Amino acid sequence: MAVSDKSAVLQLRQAWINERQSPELLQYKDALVEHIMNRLQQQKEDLQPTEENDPDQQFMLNLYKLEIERVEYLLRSYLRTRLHKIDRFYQYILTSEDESEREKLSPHELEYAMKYSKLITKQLNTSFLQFLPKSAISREEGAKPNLSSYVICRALESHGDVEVNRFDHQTVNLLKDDIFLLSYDSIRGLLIEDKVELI
Amino acid sequence: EILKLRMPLAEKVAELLQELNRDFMPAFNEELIREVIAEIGALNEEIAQTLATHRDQHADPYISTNVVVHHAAIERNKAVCIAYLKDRMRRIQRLRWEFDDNPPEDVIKQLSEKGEGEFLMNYDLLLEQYMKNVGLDLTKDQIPPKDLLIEVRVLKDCILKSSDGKTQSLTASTTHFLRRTDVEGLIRQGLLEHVL
Repeated sequence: MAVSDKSAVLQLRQAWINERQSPELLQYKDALVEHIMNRLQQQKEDLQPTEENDPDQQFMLNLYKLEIERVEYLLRSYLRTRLHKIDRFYQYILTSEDESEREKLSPHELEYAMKYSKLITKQLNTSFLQFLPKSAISREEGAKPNLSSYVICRALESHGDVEVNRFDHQTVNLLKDDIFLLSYDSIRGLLIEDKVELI
Repeated sequence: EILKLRMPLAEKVAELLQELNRDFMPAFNEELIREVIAEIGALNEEIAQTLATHRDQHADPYISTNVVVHHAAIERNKAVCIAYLKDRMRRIQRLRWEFDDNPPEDVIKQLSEKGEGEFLMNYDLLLEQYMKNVGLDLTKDQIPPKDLLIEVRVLKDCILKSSDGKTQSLTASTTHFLRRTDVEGLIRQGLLEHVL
């Protein structure tokens, strides 16, 4: 993947914004994250041997280091945001009939989700559920992401009419660079296809 | 025939949520949980009795309503208790993110030893494992980084492990100019203070 560093960071930044603004978990950007981590590792190694006494060079070095930290922040925040959603919606993600809900997770995230689920269940059982009469125990539903919540999005290409209201079939015409405040489910498909981005 | 309801229904349990509104980590209310469990048991018994005693009258609205209301009370008791336990678990998770491996004593003593203490420990292991798998410490940069180096004042004696592998002991009341990533954990724990 011959992607320039600048382009990769911009992609990461957008992936981060999308993840923060969307009510549900989005598809994990496996290739992008791996690429950036490799580049970061390489940059750190390149900066390592330099012992600079020249204050100007030291200044440049510090700038590079700060830039590395900024990219790391994006990466960490991206993963944290995802982890937070997994924590909130683990029951829905793990038990949904829709297999794609689990495919959104990285293998590490899936492992985390399953173990996290066991931890929560264990504490609920130990402290409470095990003491209840059998007939009072029922499967409780987990929280589901609210796909009707509103998001601000920008059209990345002209797409024509998009239905925004199921009931009166109102539509909006999406032209490239238009910005709209819409319910997430109206643009959910377009977001997956990278035809809109969230802001 | 009119059957009486077991009053009060699912009232005590609300106290659990009020506690959570007042404090970040109130002491684990084992006693109240036990009382609610007992109430659920009693309600369950009541339903079984009603259904047994009035075996041919299950379609009778007085009987069925009685059962339904008691059942609803059981569900409410359950839902509130589960919400209480789950919310405390979320707050316990926050302890790990705030204080790394050094949570304050006065908060820890509020946790139920067997259930919650173990939960904190296991959550810590789970998070560590995930971060190790991913290759990034996610507890760093919880605030977007502005500077590479910051000035900090030491509030309490502590040990600093810097990212280049060196260990350094810091004495109270001294000030140092250090890398933000190295010291942010200690700042969160209240051992250092960021001098602005």
